[in-house]
Amino acid sequence: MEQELAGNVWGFVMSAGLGMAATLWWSRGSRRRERRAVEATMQQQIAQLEQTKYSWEQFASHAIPLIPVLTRQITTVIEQTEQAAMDLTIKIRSIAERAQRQAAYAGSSSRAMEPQMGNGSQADGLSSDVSRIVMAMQFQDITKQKLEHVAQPLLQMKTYMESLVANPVAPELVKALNLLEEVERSYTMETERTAHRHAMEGRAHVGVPMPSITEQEDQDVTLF
Amino acid sequence: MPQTVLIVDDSKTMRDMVTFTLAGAGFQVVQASDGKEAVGKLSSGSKPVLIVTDLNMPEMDGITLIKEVRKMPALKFLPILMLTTESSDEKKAEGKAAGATGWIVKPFNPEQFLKVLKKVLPA
Repeated sequence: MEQELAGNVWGFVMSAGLGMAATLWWSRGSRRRERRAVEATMQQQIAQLEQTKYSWEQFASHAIPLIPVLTRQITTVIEQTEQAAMDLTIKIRSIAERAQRQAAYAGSSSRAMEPQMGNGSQADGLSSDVSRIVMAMQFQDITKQKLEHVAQPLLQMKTYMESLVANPVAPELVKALNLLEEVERSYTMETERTAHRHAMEGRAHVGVPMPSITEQEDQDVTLF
Repeated sequence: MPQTVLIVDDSKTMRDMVTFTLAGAGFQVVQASDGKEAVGKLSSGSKPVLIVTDLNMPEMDGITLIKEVRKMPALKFLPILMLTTESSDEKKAEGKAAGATGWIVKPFNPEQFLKVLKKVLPA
């Protein structure tokens, strides 16, 4: 009887022990599997981060040399239009001098010279046309400024990208990134501000109404 | 003897346009491509009856130029016109505070520009 009881107790202890061992083994195995799963997920995320980093580095390696090329193209356009404007100035000066001579000649002509009588008003008309051409030619300076306001932030982006490539962990640099506001601050013309607003509102395709320069009869003048 | 006007602008096109307009009206024109060069010309004896200056320029901008000119006792009351693409009231107020006489927004109309000159120049 005692032997039987002892045998049962021993059997119970053995089975409980084996059960516990099995549970322990199972739970250890489960933790190991969980750890492996976590490690696999982490490795996947690291691989994704490495891929993202690689993609950005590739993008930067293409974008950084591209920016000076684009700004050089912009500068070339500015220089060419400047040259064209200077050539036009010389021609206009010559036309204006001719108009002045014509006006002087018409003024000194006697009434006997009837065929010349129209020359005075012709000269006045020419002078007014010259005025309008001078106004229209200022488009070069206005366009130049608008293009400079595009080129400057491009160069700034290049500097930012170079710094980030050199030091990807640069929180102070990322914090300082405020390109849109900086661009907005650089504007001097209402048309630039309107175009910016349109683009920010997702209406970049909407044109900015701008009267022809020669139609701007009223000069914006403020005397203090 | 023709009166001298100092035109300060980093754009050669603009300097030439203003020169063309003023020369046609009998003025002699001295050019400077930024505020610093303009101060140099004024310090070395150039005596204009008027300064026409742009706002945004390298080295020294138009507002700083006006402040520098106003520090020169002989030029304290010299008329100074801003000629710029900037049209905001905020900037105009800044120009007025610095001592500008007037503010003209580009593009300028030569005929109206000369009328403004007549208004600001001493008779």
